[in-house]
Amino acid sequence: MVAFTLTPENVDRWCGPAGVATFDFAGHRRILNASSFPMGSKGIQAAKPLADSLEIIPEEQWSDLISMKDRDKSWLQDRIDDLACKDQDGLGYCHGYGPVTCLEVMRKVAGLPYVELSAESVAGRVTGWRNEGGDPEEDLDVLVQYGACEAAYMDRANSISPSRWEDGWEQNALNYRAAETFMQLSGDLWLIAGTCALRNIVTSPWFDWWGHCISGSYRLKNENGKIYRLDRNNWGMEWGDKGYCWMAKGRGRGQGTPSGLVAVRVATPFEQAS
Amino acid sequence: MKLDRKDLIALGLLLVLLLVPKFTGELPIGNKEPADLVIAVYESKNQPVDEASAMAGVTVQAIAKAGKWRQYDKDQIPADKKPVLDPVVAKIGVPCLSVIHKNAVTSSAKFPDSDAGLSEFVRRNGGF
Repeated sequence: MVAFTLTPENVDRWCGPAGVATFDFAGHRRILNASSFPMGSKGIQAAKPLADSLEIIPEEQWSDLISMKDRDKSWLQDRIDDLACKDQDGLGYCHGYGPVTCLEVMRKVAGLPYVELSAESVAGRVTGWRNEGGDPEEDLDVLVQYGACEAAYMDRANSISPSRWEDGWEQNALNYRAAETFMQLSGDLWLIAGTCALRNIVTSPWFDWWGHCISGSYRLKNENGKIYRLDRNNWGMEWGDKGYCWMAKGRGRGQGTPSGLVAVRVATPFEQAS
Repeated sequence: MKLDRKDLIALGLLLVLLLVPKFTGELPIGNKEPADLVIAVYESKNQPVDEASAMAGVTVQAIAKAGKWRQYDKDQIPADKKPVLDPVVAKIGVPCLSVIHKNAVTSSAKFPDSDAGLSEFVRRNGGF
């Protein structure tokens, strides 16, 4: 069980196994302050509102369902326990890393062979290949229309110079698209993100207090009557507990009620011919 | 024409083979070979917690670890799998579960509503 719970104090730390801060993340925060999200997207709007598409599960029912899913070991996290945590490594593309992680997760859930996908190939199209924040909704739209290419096409990790990438990356990306997506910018986003966890739908939430977008809804837990949701950062395996953190309800620093979220339920089922 | 005892036994077996699938929706004789693939076809718009949980349970995790699990939305079945899966979906509906041997569906059923049911179905049809 993940042992790392996000708090106002440990938000920006890169924690090793002992929870010791090993990296100053000021550079990341400079790039991704909350104002860098241009809310009110001019995007393609391919995604449907989650609350209209999903039967919301009232919070009073969560405890019983948490017990059932704990017993059955049927959380999303149980399905992806060997999936490595992506690492944006200071690049301002969390808005692409969250949605692309969703696609990798749903491919894994569908039983498709693991392929590391390039979040840069999605976020770069949104920002015009500048190293800056963006609206995850637009990244989701790119993911639906153009897809994410295999990371192997990039000249190096976190590269945002597609002219140096292997030819054919755009064609390759068309194989890795999201087929059914959702977005939600208003309403009770704690309730919606928790419902997604119970229904095994991976989300990519973002938080205004953090100016940051991650992936989430991997699991819920009930600890002394308080519910926590398990999300995963895009800062590599060394952050939190293998990238995971528990988040409690609330909109304050370190808390887990999203300011918005997108979700992927179906991935295009592409697999290389063997 | 007079039927002897052997003819009657053969006729009886033939009737069982023909009629049992109509009642159970499954082939009466499970495949003894491990499955090449186990495929769920589901309707993403209707994904209750029980179904989602069974699709993520320990049996599916084990099949997935063996690289033999596939899970497709009914509108996203790959072209190479449509010829074998479409008839199953047409007959049983979604969600459904198919066991594949040598690119053919050797057994199919309505998707089990529990991990135990899913495990038993796969075991009866050759395991994985």
